[in-house]
Amino acid sequence: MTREWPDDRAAARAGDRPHDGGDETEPALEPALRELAAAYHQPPPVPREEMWAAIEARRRARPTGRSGAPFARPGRYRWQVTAWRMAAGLTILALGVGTGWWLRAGSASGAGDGRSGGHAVAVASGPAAGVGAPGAAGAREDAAYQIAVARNLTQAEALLTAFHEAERGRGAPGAATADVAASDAQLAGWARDVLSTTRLLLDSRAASDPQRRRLLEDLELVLVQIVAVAPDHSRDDRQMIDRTLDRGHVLTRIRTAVPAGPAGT
Amino acid sequence: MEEGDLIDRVEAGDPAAERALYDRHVDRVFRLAFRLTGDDDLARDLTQETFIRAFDRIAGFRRQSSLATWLHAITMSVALNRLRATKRATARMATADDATIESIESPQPRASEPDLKERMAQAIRQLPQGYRTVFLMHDVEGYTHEEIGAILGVDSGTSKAQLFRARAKLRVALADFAGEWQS
Repeated sequence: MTREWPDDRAAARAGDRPHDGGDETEPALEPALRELAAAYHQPPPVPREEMWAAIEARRRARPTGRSGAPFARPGRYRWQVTAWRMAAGLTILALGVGTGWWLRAGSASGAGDGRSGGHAVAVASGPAAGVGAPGAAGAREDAAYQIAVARNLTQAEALLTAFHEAERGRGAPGAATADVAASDAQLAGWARDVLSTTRLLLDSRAASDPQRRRLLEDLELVLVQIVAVAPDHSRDDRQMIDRTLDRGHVLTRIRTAVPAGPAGT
Repeated sequence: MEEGDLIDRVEAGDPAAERALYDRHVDRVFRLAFRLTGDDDLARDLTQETFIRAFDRIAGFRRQSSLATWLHAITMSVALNRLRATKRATARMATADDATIESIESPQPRASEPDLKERMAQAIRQLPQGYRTVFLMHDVEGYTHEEIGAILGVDSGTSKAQLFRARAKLRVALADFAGEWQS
């Protein structure tokens, strides 16, 4: 199945889709155009030594840790992926309902004190914050972005937790190969969905907060790895992703960010 | 030295192996970064960031894919995030100036009639970022759809679709020069 990037969605909305997923039966770019394209941002000679010196200097200035103990854990079952996804869906539903109440209350009162993830949001308050006031629409828009981020992080948290659980299930005495493959396929599809939303958020005002942007960027990198691992993977691959997750504290940072959703929810 | 041995040595912290890995891959990483940004300083910075991240995270490299694919995925992640940040900053400035921004990293093209080469550059700049990335990787830098899919974290079918649309948009943009490029 062809997954979509944000650009695909925009193209689809604009009625700009090709006949179908785009195979290589369509003609290649004309040689003259290809030649012209090759001149676009034509790279200069590679400054190898200069860049190497800079890399060494930057690494000396910012030493980083290596490795981490690989973990091998006993197994579980593939339905856990589904269960985690359902749990995430329920959480998001609750978040949506609560947020709806909050937004409605905010509109009615004309004032709010929106907070999320420890990041202050410019929600208008006082006399200028009434419905129809210039600040109110912007505040509601900010709140909408916050909600979108919270929803995505909720999904990501559930996905990453399911990923951990699936890793535990791998290698268990009762774990069937088909079961494992099915859970991998589920995880990959789910990761693509979350990745797509994460990229949309990174392109939006939701990423204007530096701390949130860093979290979304780290999440994007992890999701790309998860998508790339499944379905043909080795146990080592998954353990390495686990280690990457641990090293960046991605899951911990998501959990820190999610509970502090919009005030009043 | 075999790639596996090289990775083992880098993982063990061997500086000579790190340099060997760098020498083996730096050209393509830099080319990709430059194609995407068109800025020498930025391309250098992205290349450096790619290798710093790679050395830090080599223990997390899955060896079923090639090291090049993994490195280029890091490059893309670093580059796209940087371009997003640039785009946001540019958009904020544009909003303040009440100006219109349609391009990420380049100024608006000249109002006067450009030649075909400039028109092509302008058309590429105006492609949506996803289309432009796939087009540059496939048609200019010669990556396969499978490589692009692995690097960008999308299906190879998505890469093909993006390329199809990119080419179509370029042909439309250059239609009034068709006599020059169609033979």
